[in-house]
Amino acid sequence: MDYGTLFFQLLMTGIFLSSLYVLMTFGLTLIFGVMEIVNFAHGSFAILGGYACLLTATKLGIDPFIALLPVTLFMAIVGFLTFRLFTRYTFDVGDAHVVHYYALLLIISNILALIFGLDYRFIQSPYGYEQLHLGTLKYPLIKIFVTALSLATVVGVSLFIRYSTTGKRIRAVSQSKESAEILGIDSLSVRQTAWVIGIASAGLMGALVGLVNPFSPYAGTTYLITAFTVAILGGMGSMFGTIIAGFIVGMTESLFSIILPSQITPVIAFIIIIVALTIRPEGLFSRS
Amino acid sequence: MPVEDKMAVRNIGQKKRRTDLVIIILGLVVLALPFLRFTTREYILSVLTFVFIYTTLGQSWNILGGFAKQFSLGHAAFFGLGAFFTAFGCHLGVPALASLVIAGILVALVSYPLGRICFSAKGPYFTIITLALAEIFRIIFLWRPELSGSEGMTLPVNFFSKNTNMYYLALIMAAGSILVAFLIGRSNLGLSLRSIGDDEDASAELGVSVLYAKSITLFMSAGMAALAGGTYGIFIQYLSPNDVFSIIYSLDAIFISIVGGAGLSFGPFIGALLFSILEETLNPLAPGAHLLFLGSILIAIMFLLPNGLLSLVYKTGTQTGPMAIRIVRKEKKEGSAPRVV
Repeated sequence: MDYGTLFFQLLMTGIFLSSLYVLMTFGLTLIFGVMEIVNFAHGSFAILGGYACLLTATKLGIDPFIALLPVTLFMAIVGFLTFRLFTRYTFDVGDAHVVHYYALLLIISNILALIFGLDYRFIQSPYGYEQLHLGTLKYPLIKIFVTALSLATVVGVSLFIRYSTTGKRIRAVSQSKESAEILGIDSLSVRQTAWVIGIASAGLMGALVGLVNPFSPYAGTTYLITAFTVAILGGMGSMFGTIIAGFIVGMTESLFSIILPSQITPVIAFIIIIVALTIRPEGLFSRS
Repeated sequence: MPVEDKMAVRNIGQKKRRTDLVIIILGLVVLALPFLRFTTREYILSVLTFVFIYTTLGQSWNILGGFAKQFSLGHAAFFGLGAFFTAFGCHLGVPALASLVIAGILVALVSYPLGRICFSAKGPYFTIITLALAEIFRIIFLWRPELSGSEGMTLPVNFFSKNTNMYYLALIMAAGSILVAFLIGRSNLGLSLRSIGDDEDASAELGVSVLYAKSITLFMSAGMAALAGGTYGIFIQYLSPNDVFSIIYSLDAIFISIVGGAGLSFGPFIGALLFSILEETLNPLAPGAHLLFLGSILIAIMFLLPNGLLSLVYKTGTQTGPMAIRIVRKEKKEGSAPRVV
């Protein structure tokens, strides 16, 4: 393999990983910004989205990319229900919330394990093995679709948060909950919106990953730690930082994947997380 | 002192004597159990051995997470390191008990630099960093065949392969860990840890040496978790990184400590009993079923009884959960000091 092809492969894999990481972390950091809660169950919501997509695609026999729409809708409903039944009771427990959310992770992943078993599953798509040819370079078509979709979602959500009234409310609450409430913003409903967006984007990300990589009920922890890495590197609650950090982590992993054996590539993310937290406990791009 | 107050004091005294009596009788039964002859003896002994190992593990989380509210998700790292160091010792020909003790001390020493890294972060960030550390150990042990690799390793047969000896080893571990937690709870260190748990910045302002208190507690906590891991390894006689470094052990420790009563020295024992009962009854039904129940019970306890099951028995300050059940006491006098165990 010549260097040009290698560089192209690394670049494409880097962009592919980065876009997924950014999408995954968006919800996590949005939720943290608005309600100061670190959602340890985020990874298992992603896996839930993956299984929802698998069921829709196989049982209804529709194209998995079209199935993404009902899946995102379903995850939004799941988000609404979990907020009503669970999240809104965990605001005043302080740091102990990590235990609540870890317990939620256990519940979701073990319900999935009871229904679907522990085997790794994979969402079949009709163009799963087709390649895109660019002269001498080639790349799997499905990865390009996935990258494009997740980048589009990231851009869409960013624009929504930046310009819509709801988005402005979300940013106001994440800057200062008290001031926002004085100005007449209902912080509970804003938190609910943020939670629903976060869970729906996690589910969408899980479905997109499921189109490329196999997943199992317990695979959420790996996604979770990677999302934490990106979130912490970018500064919890900062959208711009998340995008930069997502690309740093994605590109680094893609680059190191040619030097290191594949079993220990996850260690890179963990080492980044530890170094980042030791140097700047609030995150590299945090507002404070 | 008015007559009613004297009566109240005597009532509390009598109640204390009665609880002591119950504990002494239970203790004697537990001590004598291996000498009794009944049909399910082997099974009961092995379940109780697990209960004692889990008590030690839960207690190691309790002295850090229960007193100082440092919610670690990394105790699986200490548990696994303890198990593997004990196994390495046994393979080098060191007697099992000696290698267990050496493993405990080594892991406690290793915990010091790790603690310096972890304690640079606070609150949820501390939890994330401990989670990442535990995963790093799991991946490294899976990767290097000289450490164990994915095949895992077996422990040679030793003195503790006999069930009765194993039972007493685990019992001594559990009793020792409860004693350590009890002593910490009474000492100045316990007071510092509780104040760190209430408000870390304020305690630092008031002159509590926060980093020292946390590091010395992590030192003991890591040693305790390593002893639990080593005992587990000797009992199971087969170790694999995916098992002993599994994040499930960190979760077990949290469950055992919080459900029993975080910050109480007998809490983890109650938690470990409940945990083992759940595991024994539900795990054969379907894989993962007991974890589903553990998660649900954990959430229910955090919402309804944030001070754990033992708070039904002992009065332990205020209940501060969102839906906490207010425990109505029979004693009408407000003046009687809350009992801290």
